[in-house]
Amino acid sequence: MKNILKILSISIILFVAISCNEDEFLQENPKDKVYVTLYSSYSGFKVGLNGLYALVRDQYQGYWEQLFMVSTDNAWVSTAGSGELAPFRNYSDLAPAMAKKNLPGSVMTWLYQVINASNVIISRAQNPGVNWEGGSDAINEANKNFVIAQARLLRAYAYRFLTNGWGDIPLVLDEPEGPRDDWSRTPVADVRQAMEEDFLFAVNHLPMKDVQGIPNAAVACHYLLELYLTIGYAKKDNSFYVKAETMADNVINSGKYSLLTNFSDNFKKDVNGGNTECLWFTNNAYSDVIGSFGGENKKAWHSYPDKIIKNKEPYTLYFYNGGRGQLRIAVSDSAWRWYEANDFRFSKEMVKKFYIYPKNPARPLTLTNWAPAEFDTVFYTNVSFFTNSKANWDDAISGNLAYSLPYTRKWEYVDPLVLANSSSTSSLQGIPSLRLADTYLLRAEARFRNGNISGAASDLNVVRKRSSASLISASAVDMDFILDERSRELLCEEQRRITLLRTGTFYERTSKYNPQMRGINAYRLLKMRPVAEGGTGGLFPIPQVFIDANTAAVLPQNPGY
Amino acid sequence: MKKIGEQVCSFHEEHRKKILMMRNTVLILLISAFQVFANGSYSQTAQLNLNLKNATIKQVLTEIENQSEFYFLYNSELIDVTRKVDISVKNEKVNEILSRLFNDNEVNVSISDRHIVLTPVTEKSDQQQKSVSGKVTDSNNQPLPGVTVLIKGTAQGTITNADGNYSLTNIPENTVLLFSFVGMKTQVIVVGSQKSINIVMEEMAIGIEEVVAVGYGVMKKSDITGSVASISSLKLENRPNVSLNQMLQGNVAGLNIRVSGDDAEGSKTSVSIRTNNSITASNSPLIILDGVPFSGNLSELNPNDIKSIEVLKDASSSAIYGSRGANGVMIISSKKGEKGKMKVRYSAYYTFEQVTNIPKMMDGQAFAQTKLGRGQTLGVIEQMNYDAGKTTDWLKLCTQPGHKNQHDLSVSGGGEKFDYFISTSLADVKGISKGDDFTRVSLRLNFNMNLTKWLTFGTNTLLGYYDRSGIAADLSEAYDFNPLAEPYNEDGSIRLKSWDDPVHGFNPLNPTLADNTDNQHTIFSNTYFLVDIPFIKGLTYKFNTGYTYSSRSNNTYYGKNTQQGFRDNGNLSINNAYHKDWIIENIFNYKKEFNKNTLFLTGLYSAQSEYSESNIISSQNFFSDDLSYFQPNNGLTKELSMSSIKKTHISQMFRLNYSFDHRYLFTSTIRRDGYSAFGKNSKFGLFPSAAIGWNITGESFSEPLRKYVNTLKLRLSYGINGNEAISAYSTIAALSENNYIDATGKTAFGYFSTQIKDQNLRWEKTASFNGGIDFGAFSNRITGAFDIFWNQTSDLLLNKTISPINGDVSVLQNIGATKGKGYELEISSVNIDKGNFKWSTSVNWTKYLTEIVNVGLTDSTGNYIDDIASKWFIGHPVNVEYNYKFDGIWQENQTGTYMGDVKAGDIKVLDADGDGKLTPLDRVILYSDMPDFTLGINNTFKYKNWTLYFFLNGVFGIENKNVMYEIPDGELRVNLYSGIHFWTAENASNDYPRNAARADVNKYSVSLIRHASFLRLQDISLTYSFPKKWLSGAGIEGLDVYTNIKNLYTLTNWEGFDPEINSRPDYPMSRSIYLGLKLNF
Repeated sequence: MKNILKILSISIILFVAISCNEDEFLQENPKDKVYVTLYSSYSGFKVGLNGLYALVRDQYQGYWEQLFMVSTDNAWVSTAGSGELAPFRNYSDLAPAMAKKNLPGSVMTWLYQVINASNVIISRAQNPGVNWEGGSDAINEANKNFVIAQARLLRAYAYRFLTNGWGDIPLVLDEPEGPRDDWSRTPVADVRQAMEEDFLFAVNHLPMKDVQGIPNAAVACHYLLELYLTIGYAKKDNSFYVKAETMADNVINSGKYSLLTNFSDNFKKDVNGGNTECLWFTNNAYSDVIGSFGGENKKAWHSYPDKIIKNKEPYTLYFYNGGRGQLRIAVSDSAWRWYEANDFRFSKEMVKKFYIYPKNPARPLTLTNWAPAEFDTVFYTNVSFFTNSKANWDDAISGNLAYSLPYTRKWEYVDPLVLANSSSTSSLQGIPSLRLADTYLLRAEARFRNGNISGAASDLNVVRKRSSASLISASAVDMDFILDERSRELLCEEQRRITLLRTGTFYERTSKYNPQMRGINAYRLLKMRPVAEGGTGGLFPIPQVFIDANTAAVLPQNPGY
Repeated sequence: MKKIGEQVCSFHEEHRKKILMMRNTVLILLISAFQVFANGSYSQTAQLNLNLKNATIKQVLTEIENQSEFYFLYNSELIDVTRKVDISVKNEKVNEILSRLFNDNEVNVSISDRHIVLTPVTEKSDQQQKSVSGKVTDSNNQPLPGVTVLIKGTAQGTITNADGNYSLTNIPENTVLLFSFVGMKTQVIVVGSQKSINIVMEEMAIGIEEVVAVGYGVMKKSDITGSVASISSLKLENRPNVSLNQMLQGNVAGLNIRVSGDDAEGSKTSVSIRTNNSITASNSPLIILDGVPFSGNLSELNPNDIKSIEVLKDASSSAIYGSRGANGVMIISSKKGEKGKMKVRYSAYYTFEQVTNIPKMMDGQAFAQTKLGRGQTLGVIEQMNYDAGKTTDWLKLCTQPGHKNQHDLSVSGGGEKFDYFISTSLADVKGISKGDDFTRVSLRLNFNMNLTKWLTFGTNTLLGYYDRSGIAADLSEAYDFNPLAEPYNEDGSIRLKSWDDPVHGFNPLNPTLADNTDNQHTIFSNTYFLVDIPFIKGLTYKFNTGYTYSSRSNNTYYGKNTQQGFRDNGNLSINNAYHKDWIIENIFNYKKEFNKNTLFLTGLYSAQSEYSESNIISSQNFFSDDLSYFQPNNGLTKELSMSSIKKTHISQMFRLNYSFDHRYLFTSTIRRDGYSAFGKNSKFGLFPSAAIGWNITGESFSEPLRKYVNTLKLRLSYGINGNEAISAYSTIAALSENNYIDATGKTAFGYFSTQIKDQNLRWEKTASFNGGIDFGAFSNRITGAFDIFWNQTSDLLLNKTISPINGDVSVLQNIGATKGKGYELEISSVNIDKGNFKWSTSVNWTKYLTEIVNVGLTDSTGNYIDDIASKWFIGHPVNVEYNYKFDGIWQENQTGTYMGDVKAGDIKVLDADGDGKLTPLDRVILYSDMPDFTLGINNTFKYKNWTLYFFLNGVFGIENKNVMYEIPDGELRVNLYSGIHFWTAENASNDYPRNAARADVNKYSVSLIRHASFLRLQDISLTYSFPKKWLSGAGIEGLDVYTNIKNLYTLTNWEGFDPEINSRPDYPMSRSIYLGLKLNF
C-alpha cells in the first residue's frame, strides 16, 4: 500500500510536470485556406465578388445552361449517349429519384450555391466594421452599394432560373446559420417580388456600363424587363408591359450600346475589342492564366465528325472545322426552316453545313493564310431535316445520322497553340452572355403587348436588317413571329425554355416543332402539357434529395412527376 | 552475468515460469540454459574461496556460481544436493572443491570450460546388460548439453555432456527413454534393440508460453484476456516474402488482406481487422512499429527485419490505443540482438514472375466481325490490320516477365550490458507491368544498452530509401485495347496514337516514355530510456520517443510523344513533399507479486504531432522536350500550389492487470484521447474496457483432464474504442476558391462561401463484446482458439446529406450506427510426428456479418430509413450494390411490355415489385462485399532435411459484378472478352444480349453478376537444410536453400481477371517462383 501511494504521488508529479497546455496543443490553425474573415474590407469583398462571377460563369459547364434550352421548339436531344441531357429524350426517364442522371438536381444545387454565396456578401456588407476604403463617407457608401448591388443582381439572376425551372421554390435571402431541414416552397409571385427589388437596387446603384465582365445596370434593366413581361403575362396585368418597355428604353437609349454591323462579330470580339452590342460579357482567358475556364457550349452543340470521316487524321479535321464537339443537343429542323435563304444567320458562315480538309495535310497548321482552293470539301452534313420524313427519330439517331446534323458556328473554338487540343471539347474564349439584340426583341414583345405593333415591327426590323433578312410590316407581327425571330437571332444563346414558359407557348410550340415530341410518344407529350391537362407545365421535378433531406417539413413535388 | 544452471528433471511449473518471467522482463527472445563462451581454460585458472557451515550442497554450488562464471547442470533427482556439508577452502580450483563435496563413486564431474555437468555414477555393469548412447542436438544441429535422459518409470538417468553426448548402461529390457529440456518438447523413445540413439530436440510448439506484445509492454500469452493473434518470427521466416502484407494474407483469423493487383512494390493491398464497421471513415487498423505509430506503407519495411506481429482484435486489447483502436491494432516488433556470440545471417532470393489469370480477349478478326456485325465501319488502321489478318495482344505487349531480387545481411549479438541487431537490405524489383520498378534499400540499427544498473537506453532505427521511378504502361487500357490498333511506328518506336479514336486511341505503352523520378527517404526512429526506479521494486519508467521524417520527391515530364505531352504540348510536374511526426510517451509500469497475486499496472501520458507539407509545380506548353522536368519556368502555363496539414494528439492511459494464481485474470483499461481535428466542443474522448480470463487447467477439478488437455482458457472482454479517421480541419469552414478573369485578361482571384461545418464532430465509437476460448491438447499437439464477438458502432462519421438549399450538399456529422458479429476459429495441429517425418497443419476460419442500423435519416414519423442515394440500407452490409436486376433476355420482339417496346435480344430487367412497370422501386440489393466465410489452411511436411509447406487461401460465398461482361458501347471502341456470346436468333440464349449498342439493349444499365468465390494455392515452398556435418568445415552454421511458388493455382468459377480483382486493374495478378538461400555464420 505504501508503495502504491508512492507510485501515485510520483505519477502525479511527473504527469503535472510533463503535461502541456492541452487546449493550445490541440488548437487548429490551417495555413493554406481562406476564411469568411475575408469580408472585412472593400478589397476583400471584391475578391468575394470575383468568386461569385466565376460561380455564375459555371452555367457554361456541364450543360447547366442547356437545361434551359433542350426539349424546346428549337432544340432536341440528338444522341442516345447524351449523359445528363438524355432524360429529356424521354420524359419517363426524368424521374426525380434518378440522382445520377439528374441535371435538374445539379443545376438547382448550383443556383442555391449562388444564392447563398450572394447572401453572405449582402449580409456581411451590412457589418458596420467593414473598411470600405473610400476615403470619404460618400465613396464608402457607393462602394458598399456597389458590392451589395452586384450580389443582389446575381442573386436575382439565380432566382430567374429557379422560378422558371421549378415554379414555387424556397426563398432564401439571409446568410445560412447552419443546416436547415424545414424549408417550404414560397409562391412564385413572392419570389418575383424579391427579384424585382434586387434588380431595382442594381439598376439604381450600378453604372449603365462598367468594365468588361462586371454586371451593370443594363444587365439589371434587361432582366427586369424580362421579369415584367413574365409578371405581366402571368397576372394578365398590362401595367407591367409598360414598365417593361421603360426598362428596355433605359438600355437602348443609354447611348452606351449599339448593334454591331456584322452579326458574326458578336462571337469573335469581346467588349474591349469593340463589341458594342454586348451588355454582359463573361470573361475568360487562355489556360495559361489562372482563372480561365473550360466552357462547354461547343461540346453541347457541335457535331462529332470523326464518326463519319474515319479516313482523315482527326486532329487536323477538328482544327479546320471549328473544334470537336459531342452534339449533345441538335437544332430542330423546324428552327432551321424558320430562316429565309438569304438570312446571314443561316449562311455557311453561321451554320456548319459541310466539312473541309486540307489537300496537303503536311502543311503546317494555321487558321489563316490558306486559300479556299487548298481545301477539299469532304462531307456535307445530313440534310434529312429538310425532308422531315423520319417517322421515328429515336431510331434515326442511333445510327450515324446523329453526328451529321448541321450545327451553329457561334461557339467554334480551336486551341491556338496546341494541335492536340483541337480534340478537346471545352473552349477558352469569353462568352457574350447578353446582347442588345435581345433587348430589342424583348422591347418588340413589350410594344406588341402594349398594342404598339408598328413599334414592335420596327424593333424586329432593326435586328433583321443587320442580317439581310427581309424587312417586315406591322401586319406580319404576332407572338409567333416574335418567338421565331428570337430563335433566328438567339439560336443556341437564348434560354429558350424560359421564353416559351413565360409566354405560355411551351407545350404548343414544343409539341409542334420538336422532332422527339412529334406525335410518337403520348407519354412524352403528356409530360409537356400544362398542369391543368395532367402534365408538368414544363417545370422540372424537384430533385428527390431536396425532398428527402428536408426531414422536418414536407417539400411537395411538382405536379406530373 | 550469473545464470541459474539448474536443470530439473521433471519440470515444475513454477520453475519454468520463473525462467520465462525473467526472460520477459529483460526482453530477451531466448535464454537457453547454456552459453558457449569462446575462452578455454577458465577452470584451470579460476580460484575460489568458500566458507560455509551446515549448508546444503545446493547452496554450495550456488555460492560457487555467484563467485565465478561457472554454472552447474545436474538432475536434482539423481544427485543428492540436499545433503548438508561444512566447507572452508581458500584459493582452490573448482575440481578440487568438487572432489571434496562428492564421492567419486557417486558423482561424475565433467568440466568443460565454465560449464560443469554432474552425473551420477552408475553401477559397474556386467557385460550382459544392455547399454545405449547417442548425441542430442537442437533443430540447428547444435549439440545440446544438459538434456535430461531418464528411463521412464524410474529415477534412473543421466544428463548430456558439453558435446551433447550421453550414455546409459545397465538399462532394463523394454526401456523407454524420456529426453527433456527447458523450452523443448519432451521426446519419448522406445529403445528396443538400438544401441545408439541420436535425438533432435524440438522447440516447444508455439502457443501457450509465448510472450506477446500487448501495447506499452509484453505479457505471457497465457495471462492475456483479450483476443490477440500473434505471428512469430519462426512462422515469418518459413517463407520468403517481399512484403509484409503478402506474409500476413490468410494467416490470421480475422485479418483481412485484399489484394488489388501485383505491382512491383507490393503495395496494392488493403488491410482490415474483423468487420468493416465504418461507412465512410477508414477501416484500416492502427499500425504500431516498435512502439510508435507507423503511418507509412507496410511495403516500406523489410520483412526479414520483423521479429513478430501481434494483431489486437477485440476491444479490450485495442482499447489501450483508445481513439485509434476501433479498427484493431497491429503491433510490429523488429528483431533485437541476442546476447552471446555474434551471429551473421545472409539471405537472398531471386524471383521470376509472370502475369496470371489474364482474360482471353477477342482477337482482331473476332473483334472486327463483332464491330461489322452491328453496322459499324472500320477505321483506316483497323481495316488495314483486319485485311492483313493481324492482331495485337496488348496485355502481352504491356507486361513482361518480372524479376525480384533481394539480399539481406544482418549481424546481431550482444555482450553483458548490450545487444545489437544491424541489418541491411536491398530489394530490386522489376514488375510485371512494363515500366513498373521498385528499389528498396534499408538499414536497421537496433541497439540496447544498460547504462547503469537502473538505466537502459535503446533505439530501433530504420533508414530507408525507396525508388519508385518510372511510370508503368497503362494496363487498365491495355486489357481491352483495340486488337486491330498498331503499337509501333515503322522505325520501331512506340506509336503515339494507335488508331483513330480520340479517347481510346492512345497507345497504352506510351506512359513508359515519360521521364519520371520518384525517390523517398525515410528515417523512422524509436529511442527510449528505461528507468528501474531504484527505491520501489517493480516500478519502471520508460521515456519513449518516436521520430519519423520522410521526404518524397516525384518529378515527371511527359514529352510530346506521350498522351499528356501531346495534349498539353509537354507536361511537367514537380511534387516535393515531406512528412514529419514526433511522439513522446511517458510510460510507467509497476509489477508486484505477492503470494499468488500478480499485479501489473501501466500508466501513459503521451503527445504526438504530425505535420505534412507538399509543394507542387505543374507546368505545360514547352518549346522543347529536351530539358525534361528541369524546366518548370519554360512552360507557358504554370500552376504552383502548396498545402500543409498538422494534426496533434494528447493521450493518457491507465491499465490494470491482475491475476490470481495465473488462474483468474483481470484486465481493465481506460484511455483519454484528444485530437486536434475534432470540433472545439468535443476534442476529448474516453475509452474504457475490461476483460476477464480463466485458466481452467489451473483448477484442481480439471486434474483428470490434464492428461489430454494442457491448456483451456476462457476469455470475456468488453470495451469501447474510437475511430478518429477524419482529416485535419474538418470542422473549419473555408471559402471555396473560384478565380475569375478581369477586364484586362489577368487573373482575378476569387473566393465564395459554401461550406457548412459541424462544431460537435467527434469520434466514431465502437463498443464490442468478445468471448473466446484458447485450448491446447495432447502435449499441445493440438492448439487453437475460438472467438465470437458482437460490436456496435455509433456516432458514425457520415457525410449527412442536407438540403442543397442550405448552399452545401452535405455536412460531416456523427450520425447513424452499424452492428457486427462474427466468429473466428484457429486450429494448429501436429498430425504426424514419427521419426524423421512430421506433418503439421493450421487452419483458420472466419465469418462476419455487419449491418447498418441507421444512417441518421428518418421519415416523417421518426422511423429510420435507408439512404438510397448512398446505397446504405438498414439491415444490410455497408458496401452493397443496388441497382436494377438482370432477368434474362427478351426472346422475341414485343410491344407494350412493362419495358415498353422491346426487341429480341434486349436485356430483360426484373420488375421486382411486379407492378407491371419499371420504376426506381424495382432496384434491388444485388450483392455485398461480405463473403460467407474465409478460410486459410497451412500445411508443413518435414522429412529429414526437407521441408514442404503449402498454403491455401479461400473466400467463399461472394458475388461481384464482372467487368468482362460489361455490355459494350455502341461504337465498340474497346475490345471484348472472348467468352461473350451474343444473343442471335439462331443461337438464342438467356445470358447475353444481342450485338448492339449498350444504350439500345441495356437501357437500365444492369450489370452481369457472377460468383467470385475462390480457393487459391497461394503459396508452396520446399526447403532443404544442409546437414551440419557438411558445413562445419567451412565455418557455416546453417545453410538452407528453398524454392517457393506463389499463386500457383486458383480454383474458381470466375471468368476474366482474378476473382479478387473486380474492376479494371492497374496491375494484374502474378504467379511467381522464388529461388533463395539462407546462410548463417
